[in-house]
Amino acid sequence: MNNIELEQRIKKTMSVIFDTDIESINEQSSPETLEKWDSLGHMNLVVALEEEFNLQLTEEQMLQIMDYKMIVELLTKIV
Amino acid sequence: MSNNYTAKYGNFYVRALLVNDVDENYLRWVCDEEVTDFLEIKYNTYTLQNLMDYTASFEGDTSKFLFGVFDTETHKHIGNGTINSVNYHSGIFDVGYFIGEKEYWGKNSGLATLLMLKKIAFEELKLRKIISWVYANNIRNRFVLQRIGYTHEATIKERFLYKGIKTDAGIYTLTTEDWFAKVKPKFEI
Repeated sequence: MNNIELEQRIKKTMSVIFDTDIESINEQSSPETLEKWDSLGHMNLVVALEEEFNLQLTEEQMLQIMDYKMIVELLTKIV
Repeated sequence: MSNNYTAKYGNFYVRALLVNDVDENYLRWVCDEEVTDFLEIKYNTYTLQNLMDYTASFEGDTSKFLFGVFDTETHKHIGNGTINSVNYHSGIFDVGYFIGEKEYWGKNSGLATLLMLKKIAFEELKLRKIISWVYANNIRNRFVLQRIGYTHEATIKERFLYKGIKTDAGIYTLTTEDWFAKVKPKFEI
């Protein structure tokens, strides 16, 4: 999977979980820019990413992905 | 000294919880395993009377403060928070909270509650540092603490039992310096 495809899948997953347009997900996306990215939203995002990429994140990885850029960075390494 | 402290943030406010605030809803929350999942109170048995006794135990005690969390618009009581283990000599304290009304989950009610309790602790009580113990597997709470700027200072192995399984505790801290320099400006509280 190339980076463009990876990022598109991440954006699609985030747009569904946070109920927003895929175009609005970008490198600045974080809990500060997405209203629904709170603690419950974060757990929903973790589960959705695990399903989308068929993987299981560790507790530390779950807490590492605190914004869009960190999600891309992590999944680039492990997917 | 009575607890006259209040704070507002977003759609929520906190004020002292009084004995006459104790009702069937409060009892329902503390008997709900989903609400108390990561709280030590889940090991206790509750009645309206012992909740009233618990609430009354805060009156006149300056080492612990009990607050109700309310919806600003409807004034509905949705959960509780405490500032506890207050040591005025060292300036150390802890906070605890739960949101009992599940319709308020996923609406930043927990984040707002923590911010309000810390505003009171740092700005009204003039305390210096919060030290919180967190179940390591409580990812939701750890997410909130990281957002607020806590530092993960240590992990204590097998501090808690979670559903019979030995579970680590994370020790998270936040200082008054970081509150005023980072957290307060970031969240505009």
